[in-house]
Amino acid sequence: MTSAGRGPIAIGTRLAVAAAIAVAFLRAAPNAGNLALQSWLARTVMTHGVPLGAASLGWLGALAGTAPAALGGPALAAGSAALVFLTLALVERRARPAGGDSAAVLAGVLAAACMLDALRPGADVAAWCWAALALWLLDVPSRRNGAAFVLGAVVWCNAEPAGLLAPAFAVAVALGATLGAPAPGLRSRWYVAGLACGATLCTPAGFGFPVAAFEALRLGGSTGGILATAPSLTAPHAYHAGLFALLCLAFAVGVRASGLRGALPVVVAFVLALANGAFVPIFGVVAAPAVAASLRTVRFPVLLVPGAAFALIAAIAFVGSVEPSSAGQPYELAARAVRSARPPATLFCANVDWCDGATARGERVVMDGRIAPYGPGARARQRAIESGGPGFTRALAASGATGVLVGRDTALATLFALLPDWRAAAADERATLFERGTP
Amino acid sequence: MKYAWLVIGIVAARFLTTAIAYPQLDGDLAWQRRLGETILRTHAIPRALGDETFTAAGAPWLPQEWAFSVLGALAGNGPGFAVFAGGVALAAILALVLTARQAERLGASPRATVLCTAFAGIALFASFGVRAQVLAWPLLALFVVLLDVESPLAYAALGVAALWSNLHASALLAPALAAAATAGSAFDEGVRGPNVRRRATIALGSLAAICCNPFGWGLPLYALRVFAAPFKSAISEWKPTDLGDSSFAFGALPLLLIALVYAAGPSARRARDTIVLVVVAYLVLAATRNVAIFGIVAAPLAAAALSRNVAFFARTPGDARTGRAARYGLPAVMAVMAAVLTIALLRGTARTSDNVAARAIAFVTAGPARHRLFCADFAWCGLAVGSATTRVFIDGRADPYPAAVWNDYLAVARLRPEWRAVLTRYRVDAIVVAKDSAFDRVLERTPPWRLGFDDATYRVWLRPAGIARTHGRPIRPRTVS
Repeated sequence: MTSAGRGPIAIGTRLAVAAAIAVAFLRAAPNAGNLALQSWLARTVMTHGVPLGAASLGWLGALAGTAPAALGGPALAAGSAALVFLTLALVERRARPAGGDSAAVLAGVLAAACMLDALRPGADVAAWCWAALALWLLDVPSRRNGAAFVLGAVVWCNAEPAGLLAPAFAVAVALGATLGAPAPGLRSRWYVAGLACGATLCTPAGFGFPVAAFEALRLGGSTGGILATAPSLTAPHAYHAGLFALLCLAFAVGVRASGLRGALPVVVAFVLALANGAFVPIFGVVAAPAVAASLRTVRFPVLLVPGAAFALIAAIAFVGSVEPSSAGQPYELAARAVRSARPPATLFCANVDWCDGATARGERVVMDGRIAPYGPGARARQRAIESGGPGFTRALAASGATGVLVGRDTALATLFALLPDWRAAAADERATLFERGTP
Repeated sequence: MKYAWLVIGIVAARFLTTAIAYPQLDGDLAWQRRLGETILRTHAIPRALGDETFTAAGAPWLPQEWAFSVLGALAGNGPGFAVFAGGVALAAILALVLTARQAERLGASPRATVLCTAFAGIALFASFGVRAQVLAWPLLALFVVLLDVESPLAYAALGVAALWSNLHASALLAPALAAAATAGSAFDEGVRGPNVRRRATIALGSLAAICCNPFGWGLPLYALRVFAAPFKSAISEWKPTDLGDSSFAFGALPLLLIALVYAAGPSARRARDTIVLVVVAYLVLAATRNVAIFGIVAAPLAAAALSRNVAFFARTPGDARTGRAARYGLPAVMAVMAAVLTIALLRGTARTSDNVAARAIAFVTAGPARHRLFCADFAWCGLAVGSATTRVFIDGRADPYPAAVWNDYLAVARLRPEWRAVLTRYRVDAIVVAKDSAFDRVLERTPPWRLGFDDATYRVWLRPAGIARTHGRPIRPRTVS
């Protein structure tokens, strides 16, 4: 098995995966609005210090992302791709001890397949790397690994809301170790889990971090507005090709090669992926090594042949499906149009991510892609306006919106076109901006 | 089974009460009973849409629910309907009983059986109603049981598949499950294993058996076509499953997680089980409507896996004994809980709430004037099918409507730019919408539409001519509090 992992099929498989990832980063447009938002947060931190409360979510990540973002698109794409390769290397490394080299390659393929739909330059890929690193540190209980994990959890929580996964994984591993077969280091696992829970409080948001981060995990990452968080809506390709392939294998061979302590993080990641499709890649990162490690109990004659075939098919399908970067982003429309609106302009975006760019320029928005800091009241208002349903008029008035950016050819666009004190101010191929006229 | 009865009793109370006291959970029952009446009257199953629709009259139709529709029509109204609805509820209960029995057969302990039966019961909640697919549930459960039997009795599965195909097109699952079980058995026992040939015969035989219905091989073909049908995006039951579905989150998902962690393990692996699980796991993640199917098939496998792998759920010698508390106390608790649940359901306001725009549709169909009706939710229009005066755009039969009609429907329902042109082209003169929805707001501001009916939940918008025909007065909306 070891030799198979270093043979031509293994190398070809890795090359196919790497090529697909490279093509993705070359062709996919970065989430420019989100990048602008991150840069704005970084500038705010450097100018005024770290904000307190939920507004501070991701402050360290924004600060760290300043340099690659400033270097421009290619540097950002290269940095993001490097993080993905590092993640896959960690996935392979976790799978290798139990399953051998060929199973490790298969784990990398499966994890990469789960990332297909989310490969784009930006900060999202950092969370995958954090998750892979965290689980690698948790695999072997030692004082050094424990300390590194807790320190990493503090950094992760300050870098992004997904840092909440650190204590979730640590608790899942400790619980699995407790419920499963007796194993050494049980007490230290619980210490690490406890300290990781404590690490979530070491952010400027304090006790507010776990609550806000949970909301961000549940709602954030959605690209279709806050009403659309189902996996298939946000990550259709990865959902079918990656998540389901991995799930099939998990059913077939199990995820308990490392006992329950290896299986429970898979459960956590699976539920997370079902709650929000943006986390399908993290499910891949967590589950692929567990599944691949379980393959040692199955007498598959050649592990790599199905893996290589799958990688090839997935790579071809993916390369064909990546949309080339387009110049026209709705947030640009928002930026242009908001400047022409009468002050004080407050912009509502039917897709919250579109408002990121406006926030980055210091303009007022009803809600942007961060979602979590806005609280439940604002989210309810956003939903009411998005749906055009009950409470729409009241929510629109309460939001104070003077500009509304909605998808072109949508029900909301039709509705605003008929509202007497609103008029279409600008439009492009994806969105229309309505301005509130003189009442 | 001794504890599973407690769960089944409580779930039974819910099913029976809901079926009998909440007959109109969706609009399909109306057109299905109308279909049944037509079959009884003409002694033939219609094979095309009639002039109850103005968009697709004459379009080929395969009324797969024909047997259910005949039963519904025979039941009539009043006590007959209560018996019919109660029978449908009993079918769901029977499915749950068979699921629990199968868990026990696979070696699950009473504790594991009761837990997984409860999850399966919850998984059935969302899809439950007086509906054709509910009658198919016990047949699915029985098919799974027979598939696992290691004797010639297993061939009875072919009869089950044939009966199933006369009730619902989900009978296509029969050969799929049998094929999965065959493949799994081949892994477990080798290609020449004792069960492989039998299950392969059942797989092939059930493929033939599901053609034993009035539509022949048209039924499996129809079921396959539905998988790729464009109208699925407009039907909530076909949307991909997510955690927002309570039947999935609290019923199927726990079973899915138990199966994920425990079904396959180094100690005991049955490829037969895991391949079947993969099939139903795909179905449950693909569409909300498959949550119930997953619950029925996965619950016994999950219960057995729990018993094999978790000490708390392992079988013990004491399982056979029943103490006095268990013999009398637990049934008493179950009876009290079932009674409380029944009373709560009967007293709940949901019982009298109008979920299918019944009053709005009745308003449109009541007058002597003819209408061309568009429903914002196409299922509501099922209530108007068969009306002497009203023809519908699309109704709950859904499947036979051509893709072009569906596109036009979606253009209007989703208020795409061409929505007004579509309504004009089809000469629609009545629209039922949810009150305060975006569609309602748009119609409020769009001449020549005028409010014709208004209650707490729904509104009917009419073209002025429609108002004049219906009421004789152009503008006087009827408001119902």
